[in-house]
Amino acid sequence: MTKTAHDHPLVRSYLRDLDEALRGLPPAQARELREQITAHLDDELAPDAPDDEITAALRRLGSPADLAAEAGGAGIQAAAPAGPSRQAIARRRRRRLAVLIPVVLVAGLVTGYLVAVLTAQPLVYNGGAGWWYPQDASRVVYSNADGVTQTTVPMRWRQRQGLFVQVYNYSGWTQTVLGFAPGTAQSPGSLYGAQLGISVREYAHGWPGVPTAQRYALPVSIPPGQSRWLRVLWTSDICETSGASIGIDQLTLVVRVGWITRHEVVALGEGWFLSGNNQSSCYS
Amino acid sequence: MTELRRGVLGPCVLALLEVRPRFGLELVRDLSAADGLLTSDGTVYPLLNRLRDAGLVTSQWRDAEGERARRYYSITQAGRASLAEFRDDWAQFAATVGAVLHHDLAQASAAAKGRPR
Repeated sequence: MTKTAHDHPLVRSYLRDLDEALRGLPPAQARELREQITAHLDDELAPDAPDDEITAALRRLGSPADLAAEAGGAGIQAAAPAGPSRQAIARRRRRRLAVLIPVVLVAGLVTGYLVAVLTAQPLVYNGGAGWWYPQDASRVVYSNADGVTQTTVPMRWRQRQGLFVQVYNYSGWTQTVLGFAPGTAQSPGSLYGAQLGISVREYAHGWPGVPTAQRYALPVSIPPGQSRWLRVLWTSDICETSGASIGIDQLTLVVRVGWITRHEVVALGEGWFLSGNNQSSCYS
Repeated sequence: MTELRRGVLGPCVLALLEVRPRFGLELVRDLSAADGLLTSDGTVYPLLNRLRDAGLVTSQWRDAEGERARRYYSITQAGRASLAEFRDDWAQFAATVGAVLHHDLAQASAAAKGRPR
């Protein structure tokens, strides 16, 4: 004689099989169903129920596999006249996935695009450079300070001065130069900014033509693998003391790459300096 | 037939609970008394859980003196509304199917429109 029906070996065996069959269900759902079946057997069977009565009760309950199938959505959900069925939930999940997958794909494409654009190699100084005006080019003094080459010409107070450098687009993207980045040094000789121009065409691969013979404009698009002159003109208005000099070694440009506009720092390869005047001559 | 039985078992459970709350074995016995409704006693429990998840049924433990604690199932307001809707649908559906089965298509058409001839 056993204390409760579910202590009977036949019932215990059935419940073990049920546990096994319910393994695929969420644990809470499996626990609840096992509790309901156990309570059902305790209600139906007396603790000392004979084997044949227990066998009949277990047969009426249905096999553990069938119960698990019912609980797992084998079709009983059709009996619920309201509320989402498993198929409805699955359909909803599929619909959500149908929406989510394109969103994830688009997000991935956008991210990939941004990474590709933002990691595109900036425009680089490609070697060719010089002072724009002949009167400056003829008075260049080259020096080397701390391993940095410096090219210096006298400042011509309140006169136009300029320089040009060759830049090359090594990236796989067309880069459109829009102007100087605000707040950055634009020239060695003026506090009030400078005029930026980009030569509009390339004559041969890597050769942008004679710099002074080009047409300059802004903005200008530089296709991948092409070279352009970058010209900076300004009116010198910094009254530097005699013997001192002032210069720049880089320019920061606003450049559009694809849909992205970014700042690109073009290292000028050497320092471009203007040497000071006798201060009294500035305002005389 | 199995699918049809499954389809009507939920409303039948709601109808029994509409009368009064019942515990699991009670429901099983009442349903078994209606010959042919239950394929196996155990199927009632997953169904009850699904009705509960759908908000049509609630359950609570009752511990009557001298008896062991039992989980009683009750119908909710949403369950009553759902049952009422099913009763209307069922009457019309049964009339339509009955008419088709007896080769009375005119009656079936009228039944489908909710206008018995």
